[in-house]
Amino acid sequence: MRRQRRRVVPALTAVGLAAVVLAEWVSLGAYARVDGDNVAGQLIHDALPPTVYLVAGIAAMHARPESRIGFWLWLAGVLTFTGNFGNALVPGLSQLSIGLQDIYLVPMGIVILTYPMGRLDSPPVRWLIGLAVIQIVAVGLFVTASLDPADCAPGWCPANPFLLIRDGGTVAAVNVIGQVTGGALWLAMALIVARRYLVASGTARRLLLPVWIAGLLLAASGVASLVVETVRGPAAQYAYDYWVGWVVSMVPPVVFLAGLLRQRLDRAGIATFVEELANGITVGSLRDAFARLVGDTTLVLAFRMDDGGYADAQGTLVDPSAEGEGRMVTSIERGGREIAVAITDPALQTDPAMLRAAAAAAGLALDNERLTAEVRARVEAIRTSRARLVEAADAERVRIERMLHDGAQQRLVALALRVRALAAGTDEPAVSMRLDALGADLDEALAELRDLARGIHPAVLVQAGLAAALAALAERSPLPVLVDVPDIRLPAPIESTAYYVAAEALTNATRHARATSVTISAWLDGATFHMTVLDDGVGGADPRHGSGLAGLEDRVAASAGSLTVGGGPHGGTLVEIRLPIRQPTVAQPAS
Amino acid sequence: MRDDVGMRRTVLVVDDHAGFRASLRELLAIGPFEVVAEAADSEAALEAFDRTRPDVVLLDVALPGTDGFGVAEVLARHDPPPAVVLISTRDAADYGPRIGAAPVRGFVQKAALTVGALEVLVR
Repeated sequence: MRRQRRRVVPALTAVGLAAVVLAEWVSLGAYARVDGDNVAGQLIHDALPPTVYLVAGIAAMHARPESRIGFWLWLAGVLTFTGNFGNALVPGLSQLSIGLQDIYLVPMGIVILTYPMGRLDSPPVRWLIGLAVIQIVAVGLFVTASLDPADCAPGWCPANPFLLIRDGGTVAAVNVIGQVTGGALWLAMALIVARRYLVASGTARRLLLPVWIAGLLLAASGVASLVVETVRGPAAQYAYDYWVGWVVSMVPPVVFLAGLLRQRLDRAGIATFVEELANGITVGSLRDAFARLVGDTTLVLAFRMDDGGYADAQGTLVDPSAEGEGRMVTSIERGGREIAVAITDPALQTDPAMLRAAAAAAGLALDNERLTAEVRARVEAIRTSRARLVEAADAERVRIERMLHDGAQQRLVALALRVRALAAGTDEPAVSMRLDALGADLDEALAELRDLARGIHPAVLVQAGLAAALAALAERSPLPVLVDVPDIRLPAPIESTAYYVAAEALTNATRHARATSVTISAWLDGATFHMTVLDDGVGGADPRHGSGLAGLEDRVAASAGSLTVGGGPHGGTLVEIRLPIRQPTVAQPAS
Repeated sequence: MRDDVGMRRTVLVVDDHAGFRASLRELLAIGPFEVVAEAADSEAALEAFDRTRPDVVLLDVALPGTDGFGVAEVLARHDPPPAVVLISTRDAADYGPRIGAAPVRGFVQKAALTVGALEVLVR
């Protein structure tokens, strides 16, 4: 790479030099035709701005070989000379040169949009540059085709073999179209630059400073030129453009070069980065340190896991290819093996070399964080698989409860009704009595079947939600139970878990705690569901010994929640659960 | 038996279990009720209601498609509305506050269905 560039830089220098000499030679021919003009002064005036671009470009390529900004500055310098050939008395070349004299704006636009790395990775930038090329070439060729040598002073313009358009109205109309589309392209560029600024933070915003200086300076000079024209007339504007505009046009390449040179020093930022790491690392702080280093608030650090997937420090799965369109993914390797990827905003043109240098500096910390991420991702995978098991078991219970009602229960009920009809229809008292007894037995069997079904899964939970289910539970309880639960529907696993915990706590209060009353309260705190069951009994319940709460503790843990059993504020037993409400409990790659 | 045939109330039975509908027809025959139509789902229930305009609708809560609560809402918009009684193999408590909120005369657990219980509700 580097060796190749060593050969490229002299070649580009030579091409640049040749362009200067050729353009000057053409201009010399033109100026020689005018008597009494300061030819040497004119030549220097013409050649200086493009030369500044060439020199700045070559210096930038030399100082920062990994940035392509130098190349684009150089190209802008070379293409600036395009317009000089308008003075050549060569038929066709002169008109093409005049038509395409704005082509240097393309590399200039690339510099502004992609500073400091100069890479065309971002799709919107590629689109804009493509459109700009089309606009400039199309408008330029139209100008070429409409230049009539008859409008020139005699001897100044060669014949135009491309002359196709002679209608003044068409020329004026295309001029307007060119101005409107050109204006739209400038506006789009300003929007892209503004968006970059908004996405960037601290360091990256400082890196964009040269873009702002160059952009504002050029814009201010353009406005000033218009003001001079309005106030003092066209002659004054010509003088302004000739001197002030001329100086201003040479500032951007210098500013960009200075920015690149300063940025090289900015790599001292890595020292700050290492210092931050030395101050101790908590989970996720490595990502924050990387984000601060490159100045990208949107940076995602995803660690590569043994199964080839990626996860962040919290163990949440990350899919780099699905991280939104046009995100920049930089692989971070250690010992020849990819251990992480940094996912960044392409508009910020984060320097991969800087990321890798930082990764090397982070060293073991990066390895540790990767292992932590891997463990966390596995724990999370196990938890979600447990949650799925709980949900599957619940679904199975609901299904069995339904089957009991729709099958056996339904048939027995039909039987009972027929026995009742028979009993009412017979005139034999003895038969009637025995049929009544049979009916009573059937009713008892039905009641037992209903209790069994309710024990398998309370239908009220599916039908009417937690509040109604707890109200029904309270009604059946031998103790007075106060239920203070909002009547809202929650995800089924939350409702079931809360119900079973409440039912178990109520059973304990009745059987073991010698309580005289129980209060069940539930509330939502953001995305966390809370429920407390408080009794006024003797207390001393331990979830790990004998109580059915131990089994429920596992169930609560599968929902990433917590269950605590302790004493109430004024004695008794307080059972408390917290359950996070996450809509889908199945594992999903989070963004 | 207490009323003559002319005083019988017409009944539509809505339940997806054919055996249960047959048993109910048998049971109601001993009281002042006459089952004029049967339906196995909500759509057939509304169609049968429009056709026969019964006095009473015995409506199973657990129907395929729109459930009994949904059918009750539609029936309540008729003028005059029929006397709707919800029935289910489940207890009223299993439906929480939904039964109290439904526009119906009442609820009878299926196993507790008797002519007497029905007479009280639709009187």
